[in-house]
Amino acid sequence: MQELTLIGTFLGIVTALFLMFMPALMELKRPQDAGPRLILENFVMLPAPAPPLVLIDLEAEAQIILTHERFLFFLPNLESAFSE
Amino acid sequence: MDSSLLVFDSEFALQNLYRKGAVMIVAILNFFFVCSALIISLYILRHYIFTLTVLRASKRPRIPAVTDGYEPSVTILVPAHNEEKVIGRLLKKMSELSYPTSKLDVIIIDDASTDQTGQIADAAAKENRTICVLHRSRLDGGKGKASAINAALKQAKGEIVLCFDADYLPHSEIVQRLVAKFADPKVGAVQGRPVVLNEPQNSTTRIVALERIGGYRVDQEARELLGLVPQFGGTVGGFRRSILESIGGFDESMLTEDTDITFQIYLAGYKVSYAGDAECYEEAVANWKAYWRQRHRWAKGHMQVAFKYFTKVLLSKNMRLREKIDGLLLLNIYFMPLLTIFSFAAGLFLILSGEFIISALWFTIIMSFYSFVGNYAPFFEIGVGVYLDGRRRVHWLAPLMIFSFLYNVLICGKAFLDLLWGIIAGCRGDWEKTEHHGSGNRLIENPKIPE
Repeated sequence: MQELTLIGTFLGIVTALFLMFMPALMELKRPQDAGPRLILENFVMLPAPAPPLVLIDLEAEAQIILTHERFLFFLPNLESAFSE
Repeated sequence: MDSSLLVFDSEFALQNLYRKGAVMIVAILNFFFVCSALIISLYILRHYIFTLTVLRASKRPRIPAVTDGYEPSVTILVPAHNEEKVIGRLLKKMSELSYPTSKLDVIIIDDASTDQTGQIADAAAKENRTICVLHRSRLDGGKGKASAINAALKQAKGEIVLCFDADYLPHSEIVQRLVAKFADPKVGAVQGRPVVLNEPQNSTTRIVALERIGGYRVDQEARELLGLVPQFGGTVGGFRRSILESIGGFDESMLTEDTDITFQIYLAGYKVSYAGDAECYEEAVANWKAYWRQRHRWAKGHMQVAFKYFTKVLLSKNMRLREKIDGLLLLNIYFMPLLTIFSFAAGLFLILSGEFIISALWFTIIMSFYSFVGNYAPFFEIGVGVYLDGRRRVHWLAPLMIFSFLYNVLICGKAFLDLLWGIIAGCRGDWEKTEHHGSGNRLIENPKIPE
């Protein structure tokens, strides 16, 4: 009986932790809101739902991997680029 | 007298002593637990008030500050030590600022850099007359941000001095938005809002972004709305040059000169104002080792400031009561993770030893009450900050902050021990610079047009 109580308690704790962290793991695995928040005037963001954006090792010259056809992009110099 | 009686007497006396000692220890632990629970509950109440205040204010239309055409001369200082990977984009942004160039000058402080920072700055100065470069040698420079800024202050001409870290990327109207607050003559310093640019990089940057959202969108904003003590963060902000000169500039012995200046300004009878619309991108630390180094410096520096200003704030005649209360809470904030853990341990010991003055039920209620929110960027502050920012799912990461809170407990503990050792040994410790790698550069420099 005591063993069953212990097992039950253990399973209960594991389940509670899983439920608590599941949304975080889902968002980390497939980010739907990876940011960053837009603040610069010339930033452009495609309409929601934003596609997942996977960035691999920016520090080591990685590339942005497009997981879908639509993607996030930033154009701070859009005005100067078009005027050239 | 019989020797066995003597032995019995001494043993009895010893047991009596132990009993009295144990009773005293239990009494102290009970007192400690109750006091710490009250203090921590005060912080929770403070965060609750902040969150509600910002929520209510968000329903009212924002009224821009009345400036009556206030347009003072401005000097922007950019201290930079080995920032070749990031400084280029900031310098480019300096030429895009919409503030009148006749009233603006930018001083880049090449603080004993050993990379191309100085050369990049010189090249930018050649192209833009508002930019000039101050090169510091290895003899004078490399001693921290406070030292770099103090050196540049001697050359600053602007009535208002703004500071940006080299990895920052401001909005083109940021100068107007920061300066507008100085139209109020009581404002001695202003703080804008940093937003994490490299948020998508990894889990560390995403958690740091959450912390920033809670800290700035809600915490700082609430302190501004309630007339409390918004903190000058050392970057994306500025101060009146005259006030800073009158108080002798930044204290170079402090690890967090920004927190030090905040309290100096309040003690001098002025205030710090938070400008939530003055936003600027920053590069967050991208791994837990860098996070440790950065937060360790913040914690240690903040504790230094707490020791320096606790009594001064308490006895100040220039601060209002609400500013004093909030100021004292702000000063001691980095002690709170330690207090939380110690009180948890004390309570657990007392309840297991059966010596608790309150029942197990009350203990559970109290522990649950403050254990689940911690004290660093409480979850409900972050949730509301995320909601007000119009974000969709980033708050799903909030449970991960439990780990960053536990990590911060270790950081604060180590910082406290290092500070004590520094006081005993008479050394401040080195100013550990946060390395910037240009993680957000890819997002800015490689625009892609959607098909």
